[in-house]
Amino acid sequence: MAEVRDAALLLRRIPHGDTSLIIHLLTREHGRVALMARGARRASSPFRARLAPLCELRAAWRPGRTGMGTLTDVERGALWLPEARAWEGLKLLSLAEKLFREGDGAGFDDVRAALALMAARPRGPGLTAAAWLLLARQGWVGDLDACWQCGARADALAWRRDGLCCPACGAGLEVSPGLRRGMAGYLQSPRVALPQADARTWRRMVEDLLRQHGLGISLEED
Amino acid sequence: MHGFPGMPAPLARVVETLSGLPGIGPKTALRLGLSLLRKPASEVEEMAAALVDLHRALGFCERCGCFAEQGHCSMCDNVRRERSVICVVEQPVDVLMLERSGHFSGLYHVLHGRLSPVDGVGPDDLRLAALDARVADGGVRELILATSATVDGEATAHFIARRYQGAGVKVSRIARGVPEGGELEYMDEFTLGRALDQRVAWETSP
Ligand SMILES: [Zn+2]
Ligand SMILES: [Zn+2]
Repeated sequence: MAEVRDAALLLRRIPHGDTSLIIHLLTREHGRVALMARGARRASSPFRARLAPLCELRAAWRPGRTGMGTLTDVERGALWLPEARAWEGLKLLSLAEKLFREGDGAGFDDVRAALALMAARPRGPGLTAAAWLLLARQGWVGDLDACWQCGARADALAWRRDGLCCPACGAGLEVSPGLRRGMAGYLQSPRVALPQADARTWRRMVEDLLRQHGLGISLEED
Repeated sequence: MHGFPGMPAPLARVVETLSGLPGIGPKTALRLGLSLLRKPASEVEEMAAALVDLHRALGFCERCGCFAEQGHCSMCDNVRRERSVICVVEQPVDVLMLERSGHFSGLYHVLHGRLSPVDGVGPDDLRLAALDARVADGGVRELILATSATVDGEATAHFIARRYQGAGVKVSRIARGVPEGGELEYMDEFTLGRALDQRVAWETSP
């Protein structure tokens, strides 16, 4: 079968046998693919240093006739985040790993955009904003100025476990117009600062959305 | 056991057990099983006893997490070792490797893993509370972070460095670069880039 080339990011490295790896890539055109990287754990393997998460890879592989394909070449670009923030980046990747399954077509550009946003924002709220962006791009996030239940536009909105709601639809944690403007601004510009209490509320909103979809991932700064 | 129809049950059991080991397939397991059968019974009994003993006698040091035969490992009990310097590693086997270098006379702290959110490994899964206690006890001057040179290992090192900033402890990271006997021609670009970034100044002798 003909070789395939694509831009990719690394989601998982699973040791296989004594020297090989099974890797899960999220690719731009082919979605998530699992590949065998033969000998990739050998000291002499050109794959070893290149198969890193949090950077753009140019991968080439031969699809398997029946099962898993084989990695034939990979180039690696610069890290998308400074190494000192790799822990946060890896948390976002673990979310992406749960969101995008094999066979899904999308994901690469969404994760890339979320990591770029994170890199341009400070530790803590940066991860919340990046996760929010990733979820928004999957259609899990509604309009910030309207009730997610009935669609009514309202000033007074509250957060319930499953989204924003107007007073007629239910009560919950207050999400003031100021906070909503702050969130929208924070996603747009690195110059917008978020008060700590607002950042905490936003983080809780993201964690609720994740839990709602069966993804128990903590975004707490630790 | 499919693949070897008609194999006697005791041999099949050995083959099945051995092929659960890393790097051993059914064919190698069969070869090993047959060679065990050819050995004198006393020798095989000794081997079995060694395996049983491995689990019964070997555990981990309560203090540092290294291999230990009693509650404490031989390094923690050794009064001649430098107690104010702690080298933090991921696995007990890393301690054996570092000890082989003969370059370190301090104590160790084994995390028993490294941060890897995708595998569900977070700070609570590492032996960090035990390290907190050692640092809080005082007397620790330096933590040497010797985690892997992977993004996970680097994330773990940065996490620990941040955790103890302001604790009055010097934090250092093992160097990364050209390996001993390595020719640049065969080096990958990332290793070389890192070696250049982390170059060390040479004092010229007068
Ligand atoms: Zn409503
Ligand atoms: Zn010990």
